Amino acid sequence: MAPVLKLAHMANSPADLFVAVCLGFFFGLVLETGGLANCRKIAGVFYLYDVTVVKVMFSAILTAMLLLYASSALGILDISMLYLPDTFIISYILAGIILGVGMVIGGY
Amino acid sequence: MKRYINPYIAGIALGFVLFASFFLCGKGLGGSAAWARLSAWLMHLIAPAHIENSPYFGHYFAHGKNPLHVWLVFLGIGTFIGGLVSSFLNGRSRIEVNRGPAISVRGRLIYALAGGILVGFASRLGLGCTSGQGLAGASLLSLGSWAFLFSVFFGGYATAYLVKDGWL
Repeated sequence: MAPVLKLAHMANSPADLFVAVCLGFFFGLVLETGGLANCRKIAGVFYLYDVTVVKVMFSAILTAMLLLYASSALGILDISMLYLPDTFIISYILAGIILGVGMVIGGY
Repeated sequence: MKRYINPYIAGIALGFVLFASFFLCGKGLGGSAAWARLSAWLMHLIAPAHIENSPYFGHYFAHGKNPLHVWLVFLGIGTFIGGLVSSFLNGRSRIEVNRGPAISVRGRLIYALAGGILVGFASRLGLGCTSGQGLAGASLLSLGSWAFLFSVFFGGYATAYLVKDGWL
């Protein structure tokens, strides 16, 4: 059953932190390989000269969503145990707008 | 310098990494928390009393805790190494100020600082950045995350014309 380490009460254990470094490694590897470490590609979204970032993001969201749904439907993942930030809708909309403004100015 | 891989392949691979994170650890990938904690740790070197009494950052230090000894910081360390390895392997690693064709290095750095301050503030206000809210929250179909994600695009498109000299 999953989430594996959380169910084993190993959150923040050395094993959990080691897994974090490994996950991060592949996260960084995939982001760089896909071009998301390049600010000109990120800016490209806002001027529509390069929408790589949108393609990467939404195929990632869709893939993860389907895998989460499938593993939950198969009964191997308890989806209610996953961390989900509380919904503060006004703050999030405000934060999103400020982040978008910052992103097109700064490039990341 | 090698070209980047197909964005859909990269996206599917990223989706698998994100799913692995949920499956193994019960939480999604995030990018901004490590920076917030690193900043708090640095500020603590200069003004420890101030930061420990800060309503936002104080709990990072509660009961003598090390603000860097958390999952998201270890994730951030891994992300740095992974990105570095990829850029070396693909011959993309070099010292440069990546910028649009019309802007000076100095101008680009000023833009980067201004943008970075806004993104840093917004990521704390929104409890995450385009990774934590945009990828992880959105893949769980969280309403707040989708509101955040569309607001990012709105903010970006609304501002793009004003800073076009930076990129075009």
